[in-house]
Amino acid sequence: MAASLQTNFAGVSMPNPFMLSSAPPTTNVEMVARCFDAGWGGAVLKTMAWNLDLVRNVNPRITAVHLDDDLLGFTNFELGSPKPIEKWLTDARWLKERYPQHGVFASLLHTEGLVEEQWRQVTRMFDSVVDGFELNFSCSHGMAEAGGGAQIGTNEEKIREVVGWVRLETKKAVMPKLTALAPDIPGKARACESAGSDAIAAINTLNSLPGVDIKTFIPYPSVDGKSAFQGLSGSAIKPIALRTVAQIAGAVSIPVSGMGGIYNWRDAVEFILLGASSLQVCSAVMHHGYRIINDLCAGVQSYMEEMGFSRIEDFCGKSLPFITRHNDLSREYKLVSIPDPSRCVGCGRCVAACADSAYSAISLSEERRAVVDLEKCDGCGLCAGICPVPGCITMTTKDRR
Amino acid sequence: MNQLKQELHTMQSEARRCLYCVDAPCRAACPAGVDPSQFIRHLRYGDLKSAKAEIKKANVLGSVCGSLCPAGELCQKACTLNGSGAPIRIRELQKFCCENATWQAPTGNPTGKRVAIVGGGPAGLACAVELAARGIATEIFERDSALAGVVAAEIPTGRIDPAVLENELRELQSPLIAYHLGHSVDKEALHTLADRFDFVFLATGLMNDITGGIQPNQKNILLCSSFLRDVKNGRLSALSGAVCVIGGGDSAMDAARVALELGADSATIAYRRTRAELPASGEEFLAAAERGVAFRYLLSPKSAVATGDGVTATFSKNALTEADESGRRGFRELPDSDFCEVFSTLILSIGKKAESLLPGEVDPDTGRVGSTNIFVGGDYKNRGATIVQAVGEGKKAAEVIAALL
Repeated sequence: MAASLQTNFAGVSMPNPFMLSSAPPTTNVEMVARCFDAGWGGAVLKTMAWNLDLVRNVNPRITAVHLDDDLLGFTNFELGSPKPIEKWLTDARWLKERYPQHGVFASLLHTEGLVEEQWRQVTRMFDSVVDGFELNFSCSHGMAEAGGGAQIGTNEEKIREVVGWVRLETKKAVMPKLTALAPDIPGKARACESAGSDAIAAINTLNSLPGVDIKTFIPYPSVDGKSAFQGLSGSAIKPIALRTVAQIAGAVSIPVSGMGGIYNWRDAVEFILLGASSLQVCSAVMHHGYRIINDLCAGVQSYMEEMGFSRIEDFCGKSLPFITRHNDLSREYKLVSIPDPSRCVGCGRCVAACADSAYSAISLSEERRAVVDLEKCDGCGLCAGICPVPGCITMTTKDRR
Repeated sequence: MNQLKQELHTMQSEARRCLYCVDAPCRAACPAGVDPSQFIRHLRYGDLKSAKAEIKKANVLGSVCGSLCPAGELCQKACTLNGSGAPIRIRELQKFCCENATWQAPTGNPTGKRVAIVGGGPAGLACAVELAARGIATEIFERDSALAGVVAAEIPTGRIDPAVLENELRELQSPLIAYHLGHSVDKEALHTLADRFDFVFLATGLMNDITGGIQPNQKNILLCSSFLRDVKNGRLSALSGAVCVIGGGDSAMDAARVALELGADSATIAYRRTRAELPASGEEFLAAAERGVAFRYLLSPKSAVATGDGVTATFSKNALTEADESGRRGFRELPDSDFCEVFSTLILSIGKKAESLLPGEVDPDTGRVGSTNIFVGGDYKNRGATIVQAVGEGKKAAEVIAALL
């Protein structure tokens, strides 16, 4: 049976679970229309602001973070959309008329002070137009400095207050977007749920600095000689995003829209397994364009067919039961490192790592093959992680070796 | 600048492939003891200055060796990545680091000790620089008008850029190193030096070509070293007809390639054994073959006579014999197999030897001659090896001499 990617997320139906996140790829509705044509299931429009004076952007504002030749992610201090809310309303209406089958979320963010009327008014304006509202409680730069974004998302009282205002004005999906920077993520998620949210999105970029020009001393990027802290996105933050999504999915029963470093179908499957039932993407699109939707959808579909899943719900959250408290992990489970002499190339990286960071349990034989002293090996797994040959070192239970 | 940046990026991409092996087999395979695992890491992170310092610490001719080392038979042969793909292009990385960073030979506080060095080739230079770093003054006596031995005099400019050599020699200058160019040292002069200096390091290289019983005539029966020298200094700039080079070493490959570059219609290498026994490095063999040099195996030269505009050479055919202890197979001449062939020029690249200047036996490890204050190194000691080997021996001699001073 063919696997279907058709998604119903918090009452919003979409041809697949992949959405563009509220970011440069959703700068205007013409772009979003192209992304739908390319095959994306939904989109969260670029965050709107009341006070356009507060969303004046700087140059440059996007910095790529590399490890050698590989792009680990981006940092940005781009602000909300500089377009007036009224313009967005017309545009969103245009978009939704043309793409009734796709999910369109408006993204709301407060810019100055917690003004109830602003939140309620914009919700009223868009209520009949969009499928849902994402509440940006997680912007880590710029807006957070002005008291919005992550300033709300790290405070359960403020979360409940703002969700409550929006809830009063709409029956459409209300989806706060949380930040991984908040302490007690389950608490924040429960605050969202108890205040009446229909879903939770996570995560947003993480406050960061991408680097420093070591000759001029100016951190990147230099905006006319000065810099500021920026939000980090992309592959670099995926492990943090997975953790956060799992925490939220484990704490509430409303659906989760997962994001943070989804670059390929494997990443997508991991987010779904940890409880996300829709997926948002930005950095990978900033890197390669909308066209990546082809391999994202095809990969997830192939996986589902291989695993015998017919719908996203069949495997959503399937990994959650395998997460427990560290204290509850078995202490009786003992492993040792077993290098495969037929694969070992003899570089001795494991020797150096084990000698200088572990238990000095590995040496090189005369034939330059890694040999483990099983008495010394404490099963930490470092060697298997740093070995350059895939599958060469396996961690095996002591009795099964 | 942009081109350098681009090249640096290419080199760093290659450097990133290095597995950074804990036992650095590449280092163990370097006769001069260069540690590629270290300099490659400096390069990888863009610190070319430290990369070059790391290379030069072990091999003062790092730049020259970056062009000339038979790396495929040394460090790159030892590279762990041979087991799973292509080895790191260590020599290319070394060349890049040496040519794109600055370094100057260190000079130690003068100790007042003095060492005479006979021969300003790779071994002599390496010895002098090592001693200068330890504050020991040296005087180099070089029979040629230039330093660096065969690198300067014979190896074609296509393999070693004269500017690279010149720059490297400039880096080796030190107030503790004096040069006497055009200064030959015979047996008698050697004894005088041994009396006048604390120690003598003898590294003249191999000065005399082996002719195999064939009489060179300076017209169309040429010695390989003279031929290469004449081409390099411009005395010989054109050749024609069919050229035959007798021999199978790197010099024979050089001579055959140069002959084609000078306009010869063809260049043929005649070698006594077969491809498997060729002493030339694989890389030089391939370069010659790609250039269009023809190879004829199992042929021994018997005689050669200049006839009119050409040379009539007589060869006998050979057969391989069983391998000796080193695993290398020998040859024997087949009876009644002699035949003649006419060439425009015959170049003899059979080998070189040194005339013995020595008053005693050489310790194979240290190179010390008996209990005298004379040490030997380089081709003179090892009967002809690589430049990097000569550097290693020069260093070794310097270390032993310094310890004795």
